[in-house]
Amino acid sequence: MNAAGEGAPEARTTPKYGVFAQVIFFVLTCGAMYAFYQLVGENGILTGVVALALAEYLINRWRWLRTGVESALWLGGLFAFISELPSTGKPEALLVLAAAAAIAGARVQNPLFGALAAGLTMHYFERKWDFGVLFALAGATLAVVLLCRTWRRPSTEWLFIAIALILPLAGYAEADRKWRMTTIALYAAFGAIAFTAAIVKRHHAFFLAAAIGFAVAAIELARELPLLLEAKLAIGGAFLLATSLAVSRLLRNRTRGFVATKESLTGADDLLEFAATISVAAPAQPPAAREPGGGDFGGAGASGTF
Amino acid sequence: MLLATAAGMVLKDDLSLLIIPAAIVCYAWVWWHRARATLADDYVLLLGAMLVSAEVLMRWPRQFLPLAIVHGVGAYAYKSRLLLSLSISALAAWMGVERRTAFDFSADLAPRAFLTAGLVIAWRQLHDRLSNIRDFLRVCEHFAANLALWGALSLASDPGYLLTIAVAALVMAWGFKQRSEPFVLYAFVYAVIGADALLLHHFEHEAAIILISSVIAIAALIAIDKRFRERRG
Repeated sequence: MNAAGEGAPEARTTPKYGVFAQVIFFVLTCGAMYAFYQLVGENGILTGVVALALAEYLINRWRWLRTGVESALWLGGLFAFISELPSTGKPEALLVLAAAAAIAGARVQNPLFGALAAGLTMHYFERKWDFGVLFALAGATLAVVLLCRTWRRPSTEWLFIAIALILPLAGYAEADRKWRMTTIALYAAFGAIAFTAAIVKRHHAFFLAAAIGFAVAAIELARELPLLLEAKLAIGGAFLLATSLAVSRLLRNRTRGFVATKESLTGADDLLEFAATISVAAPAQPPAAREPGGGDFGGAGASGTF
Repeated sequence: MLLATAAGMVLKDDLSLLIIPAAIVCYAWVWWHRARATLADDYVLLLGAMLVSAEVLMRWPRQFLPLAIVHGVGAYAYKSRLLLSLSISALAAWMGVERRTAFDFSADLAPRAFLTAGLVIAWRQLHDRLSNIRDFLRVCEHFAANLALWGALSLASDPGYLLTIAVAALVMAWGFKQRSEPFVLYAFVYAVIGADALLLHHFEHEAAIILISSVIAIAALIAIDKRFRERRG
């Protein structure tokens, strides 16, 4: 805090924390709220009142925004209130949770809460009318369209970016097997729209949204093709590698628009890179030795459970 | 990654004729391109290295040391941090610290992790004297810190939790000295886990402990972050 501004709220500066620090603050605050909820005998009203009062105090008195603490207090406080409502098991409960996430998101200007609200609404559409995928892609497309204009508040732009990227992924979780061809067509169409927007508006989010759309369509298409899994993986990997090489070749020496220059994104890129490398570098396991007569069933050279 | 997975499956089916040539092509491609390397080349190199890993481990299961050496040589030849990560991962696996057994808190995980952390620190010191690739120092430091912290936590006992807090304090001090925030933040998380585990081990009233410790942790992180920013200027 600014020592010169001690006691004068308007003179205080908003503390700024990196993404990882915000995540830690958020998790710690959620833990503290849950513990408080348990301590007061699972009283959602009391927990909600205390959480929202504390959040408002921190925001107004100390100008805490985007620290993770006030976000957790607002979201957790509203969810605590909702926990006091009688449980009916109806899908409309999802809309109540979505409204809480939207209100919390609007108050603390957290785009992820907005995306959470959209995701919960999508889940409601799925439960109610089996339209989850359609809602997700319609919402994401609307976000792409809205992103084509310039927004004065960065938090508004981030909200649409979050919706454009998260909603298609959330919708994919609801995709049914019987609608596979429709899913492929819809995701490919979304990918094409986002890619066109990326070329025209030169916005990284559109590029990512297009990648998500095409990736989902490709995964579902691969399930339809009568090829061996290794062939599908090899074709997919070769395609991605060729695309990345082509893109990096096209963008070489560029200094404007999309560039291929390495730059820090999170402040902990090194750590993320190592973690990703370790996670994919799990040592392969040798195939199990097959003993004659092994397996649970089968005969004439065929043995089950292998 | 997809290609490497596919290669592993092909290999499993005894159709490995193309794996090593494919790996050689990857290494050769990146070597040929090294003067005008792009982001994609890092991953072509990683693909080649993973093909080598798949080939070696399928033919000679658990031969991690040769793999660590091969990837280590590759890391220095190509000045690649990704290959260095693979090399240190293979070294840790050879020492018995693997991702698949990381949560198996058996008695011998901690000494293995500490020993590996010591080896990685020795590697770092040797590298500091003999090489001018500064990026590699940070890779070694992150691996050593996480191995030591995880090893201490895996003791799952009072001395282990106290050791976790002590090692976390050292890592945080190192983060302050290097002005590198990730060290400070993940060491802080380890310290909080160690402190909570220690308190929960001795006291009842779990909810009260978690509430108080979370509030203290938030206040502590604010103070640490403020001091870190003041130091960084």
